[in-house]
Amino acid sequence: MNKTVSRSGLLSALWRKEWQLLVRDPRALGLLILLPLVFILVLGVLLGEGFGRKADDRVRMSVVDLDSGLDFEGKSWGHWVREDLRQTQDIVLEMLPDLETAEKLVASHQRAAVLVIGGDFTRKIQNCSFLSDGINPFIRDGVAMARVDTRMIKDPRQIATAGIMEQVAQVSLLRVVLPYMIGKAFERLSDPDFIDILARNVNLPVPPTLKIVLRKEVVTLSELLAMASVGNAELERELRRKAGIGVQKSITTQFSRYNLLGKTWATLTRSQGAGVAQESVYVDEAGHGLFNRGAARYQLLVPSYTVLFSFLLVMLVGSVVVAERREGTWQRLRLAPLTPGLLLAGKGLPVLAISVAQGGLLLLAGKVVFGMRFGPDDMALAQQVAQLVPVVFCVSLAATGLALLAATMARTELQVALFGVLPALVLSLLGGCVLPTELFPESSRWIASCTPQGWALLAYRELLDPDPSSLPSLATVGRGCLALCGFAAVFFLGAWWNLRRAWHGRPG
Amino acid sequence: MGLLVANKVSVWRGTGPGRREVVRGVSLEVQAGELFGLLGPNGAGKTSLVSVLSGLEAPESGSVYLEGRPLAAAAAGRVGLAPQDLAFYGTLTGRENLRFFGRLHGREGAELEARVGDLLNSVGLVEAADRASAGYSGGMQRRLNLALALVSDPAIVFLDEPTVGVDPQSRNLLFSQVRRWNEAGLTIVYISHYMEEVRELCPRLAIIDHGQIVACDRVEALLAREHGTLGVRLEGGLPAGLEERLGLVPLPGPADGWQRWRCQDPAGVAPEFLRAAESAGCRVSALETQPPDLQQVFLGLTGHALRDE
Repeated sequence: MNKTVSRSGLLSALWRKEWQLLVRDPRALGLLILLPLVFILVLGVLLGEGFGRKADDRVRMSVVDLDSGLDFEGKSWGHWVREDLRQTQDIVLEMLPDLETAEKLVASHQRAAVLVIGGDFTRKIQNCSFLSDGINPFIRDGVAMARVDTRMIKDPRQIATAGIMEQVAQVSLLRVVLPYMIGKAFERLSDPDFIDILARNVNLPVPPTLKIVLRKEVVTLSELLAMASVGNAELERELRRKAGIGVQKSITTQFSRYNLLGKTWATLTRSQGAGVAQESVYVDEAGHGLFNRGAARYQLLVPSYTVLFSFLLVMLVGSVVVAERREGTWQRLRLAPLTPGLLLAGKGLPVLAISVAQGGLLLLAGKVVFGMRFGPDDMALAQQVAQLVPVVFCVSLAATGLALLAATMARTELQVALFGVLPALVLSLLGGCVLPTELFPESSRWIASCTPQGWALLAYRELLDPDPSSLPSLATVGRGCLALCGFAAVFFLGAWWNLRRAWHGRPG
Repeated sequence: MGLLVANKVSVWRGTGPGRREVVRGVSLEVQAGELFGLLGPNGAGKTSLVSVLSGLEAPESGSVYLEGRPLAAAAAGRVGLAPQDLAFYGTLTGRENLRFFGRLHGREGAELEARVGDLLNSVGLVEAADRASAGYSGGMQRRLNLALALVSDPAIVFLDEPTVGVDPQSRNLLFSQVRRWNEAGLTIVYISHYMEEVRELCPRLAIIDHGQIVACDRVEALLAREHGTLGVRLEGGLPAGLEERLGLVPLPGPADGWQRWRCQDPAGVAPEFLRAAESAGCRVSALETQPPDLQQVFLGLTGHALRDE
């Protein structure tokens, strides 16, 4: 007589069999891990450091500021050049840490040019003057950089871009040097030396009534001031100072739209910069060594391909189910006391375990081989891993669901490709696994949220942010996981429905 | 009431204009402990009928009962099936295949191992039991396919064309095993398009053609419906009235010197024929008798040969 079989007994039998079938094909299992790793490695080596970021339309002005002097408002003049660049519209200011980095970036063609502000820049600016003993920094094209200890390091292969950057630098230098020199010169109007020169050069006609006394036709301003002070030297100096202030006031009144005493472009022109440009500190995201270990792009590539290949498990599951139908074992299963739900659970759980293992191993390889980070630097590794585990699980759950859905629809290997592999690839493409969603047109990005891959990447990228100081939003990660569970539920339901129809007519 | 009863079972295949009835109102009854044959040419509807009788498929009309209960309500595992196409996991060994399906039917531990061991032994696969079954010879694979049908300890087992691609040695081994299982009380339905196999194994059989059972009876009864042939090489003329007296119906035949007649019992008629010929002065240089066979039965029932299709 036949026995009643418990559900756990049936599941255990199915799991054991599925596991035996899977481990008998170690090559396929190995490829599940190896293939994504090869993809990640190849792309990681080939792609540039900006992979995954939308191209910036603004000019990136890279600057090395070695200026250590102090002057205007207690800051170096290098600081004021940076400030001017920062306030320049459509400029992204990037600060490089040192000259070596600047030279390396230009030599490797990663930057078209770098503005180097030398250590003597403040001292040189202080010496710039319209006076004959001062440094004249000007030439036909703007500022003679070498005279103020600045220079451009240029990539000969990117002459056009380097030229634009040099013009930007020239304009900024002019906006810094020129107001400073004008302000300094205007201050000199009240200097005794200047009043001396002025007094000696201003000749005034003597009125007829005084010609007899003075016995001169013309008199200099200097002589008039001497006469007014009646031999009192102190009074004469005071009169000269007042004359200087008078000249300053007159000029100020005459040119009231400008502050000629101001030493910056903003005060001289009484205008403020737009202040919209960004300043960023250069971080070496290119990685190092043969595999570019530690490169920022791995923070994107590893989760992207982990997700993509999770969903490609559909090939494995589909081919196993199609083989089951083809080899006739499907009939034997239908004669066993199995329900569609039990069969799904029996087939799904080993696949889920493989998918979780695949995801975990790929992330682990990402850390070990490619030096990726699992989270912010100041977070313990255990906590980083604990935050990643639910994401790995939810991605695997959705991927297993999709694999089972496709497998229950397909009757042949070709149908596995059409119902499973093709949709998985298209969804991965739309979800941002191949091309990050940042590169999608703004109006098309919503498509990613219609795919499980899109939600998977949202959660992964929140946790694996390239910025080592960025704290992940667990609410975002949670939303991603919930959405994945929702997709999984729909997929499992669809698979169960398909299987139930195929099961029709079996003995109870 | 029989162990398995089918009442007016119909099965349709295809859709739209191509939709056709492949099993047409079939009724039959298989008794407990019987070794029952289902004979029919390829495309006659045997496998479709077996799908319904084994419970893989529900009939579009009609009903099937097993042990007095509707088949759909029968406990899983009461029906065993060795499908025409081999049905096992090639990457698993023979023993692993048997263990898996045994577990699905509730066997565990020592009981499972004993059942697996018995079945391996009975189909002669003990030595190959731990090798991947994909590497078995055709005959070994057929035997494993057969053993798997029995692992659930079914009440009835359907063996669908179990000798396809099997060498004579394996075939004989398989036949003797089928007989042993039947002698042990197992009800077996043996499905084949090989007349000789069905006649050799099955005391009772049904003949199916174009989805219909055209005859269902014991083999002897089916054969009794048909005539055999009596052939002789004669020198001289036959005595008048002999053909009528012995019930011989002349058959047109090739001009090879033989004369042939259809008759109910050629072997029984032959001595009488010889005596009459001798007394009439005829010399019979050669005589052959051919009893009626299933081919003739099939031809008589359907109007075409068993292997036409």
